[in-house]
Amino acid sequence: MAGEADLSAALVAAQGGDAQGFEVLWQALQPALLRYLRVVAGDAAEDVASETWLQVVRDLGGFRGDAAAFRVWLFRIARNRGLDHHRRAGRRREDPDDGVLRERVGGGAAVEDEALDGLATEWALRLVASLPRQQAEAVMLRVVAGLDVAQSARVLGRRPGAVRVATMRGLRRLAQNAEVLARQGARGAATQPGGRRWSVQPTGSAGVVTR
Amino acid sequence: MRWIGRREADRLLAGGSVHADRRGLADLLAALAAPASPGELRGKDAAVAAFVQAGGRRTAGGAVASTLRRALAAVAVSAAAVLLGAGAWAAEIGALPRPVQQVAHDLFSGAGVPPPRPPQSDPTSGRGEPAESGAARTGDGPAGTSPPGGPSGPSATPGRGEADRDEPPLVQLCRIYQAHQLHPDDVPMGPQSLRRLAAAADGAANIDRFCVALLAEAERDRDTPGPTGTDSEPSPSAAGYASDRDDGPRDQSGAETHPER
Repeated sequence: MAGEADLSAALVAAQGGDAQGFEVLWQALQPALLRYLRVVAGDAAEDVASETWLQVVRDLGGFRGDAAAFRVWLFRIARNRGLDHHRRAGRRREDPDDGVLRERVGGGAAVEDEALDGLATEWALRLVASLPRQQAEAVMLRVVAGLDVAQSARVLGRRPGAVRVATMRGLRRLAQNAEVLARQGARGAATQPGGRRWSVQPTGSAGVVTR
Repeated sequence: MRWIGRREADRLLAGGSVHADRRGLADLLAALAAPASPGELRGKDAAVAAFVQAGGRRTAGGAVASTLRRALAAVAVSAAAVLLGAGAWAAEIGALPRPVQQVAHDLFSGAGVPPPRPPQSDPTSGRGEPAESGAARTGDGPAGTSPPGGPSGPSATPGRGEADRDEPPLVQLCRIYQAHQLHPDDVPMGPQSLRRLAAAADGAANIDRFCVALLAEAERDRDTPGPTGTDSEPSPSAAGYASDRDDGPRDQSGAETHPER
């Protein structure tokens, strides 16, 4: 996968106008971005992700910083676009005919099966999305986006201490979730979750839609 | 149940080994961060295409204006492809260019590209009218079989042959395909169009690459024919749509002066 050094190189290239550099950035960060947005914006995640990248494309020339800073910047933009979406959706929710926007992760026809092939991932996202928003966001930024406490705090516009607490509360709540406990009971053997951090990455370059 | 403390939380977050009674949670976190599925990488080519289209904004000096105008023209053609309208293929696409228009607006709002119509409006009336300046057309507008070229009805415009109408050129199919990648819900693609693309690309797996190459070629073609300043002058492949764009003031008066709606 694209390591931090690769990402930095890709970032510099993209800022120079190199499409390949941009492609590397997109491919490395889009999956995590999409999952974060699934929790923040529900079924609109793909649209919001597109909006996010369009803003990145537009403002990349003015961005200053390394790959880590870019990651923070990207998720910050995504969060703001997600909040915009929420405001729009909130207004439209007044409309009784508008049922789609009420759907959250895991519900409704708008969640396409191919959007996330992994059922386990789908399940996990659904549970995280059921957390109070601040906890859900903190967990996603720490676990999926690969941000540390300080970086997550910058994305969320909160103090690091608050992010730490929100993450912990989210984890506690998830640990007590009935589905999580059931899953735990269902599997006796040891698990090997090691190395999963930063592992949200493409399974292969041939994977882009072929329908 | 034991309370998760800070150290255990850190270990969980780092994906380290955990106590047996945390395995359910560790599973969940692992699933959250599992490798990406192909579906999550959908839309890459469209994103890269947007990057390439916007690339001109970062070039220096006078090149910016003309590059921007070319990019605008490209977006206009994307929308016009949907605007083509008549025949079965339009029904198959059934598409609003709202996303296309949104792309244009997001990228070039500084240059006066208006945002798409609000989703409340009749979707059939909003087809491919990025440059339409006044005369808000509403739901009773040209839908279905009438060529939605504009109030002046440029349906008889030379260059828009029957063949075009029934069977859109691959270039347009590719543009729609890319928009479909970005906004699958808003820009549906029917199986017929996909089959055609797949046939042309020699396999469904090659459509992405095929379209990127084809559109790059089309872009080059557009650059060659006219002298500078005549970006509204269409290339052969875009001939059918120039008249549509002529409805709007953008090409004549310059993108910069087109008012926001």
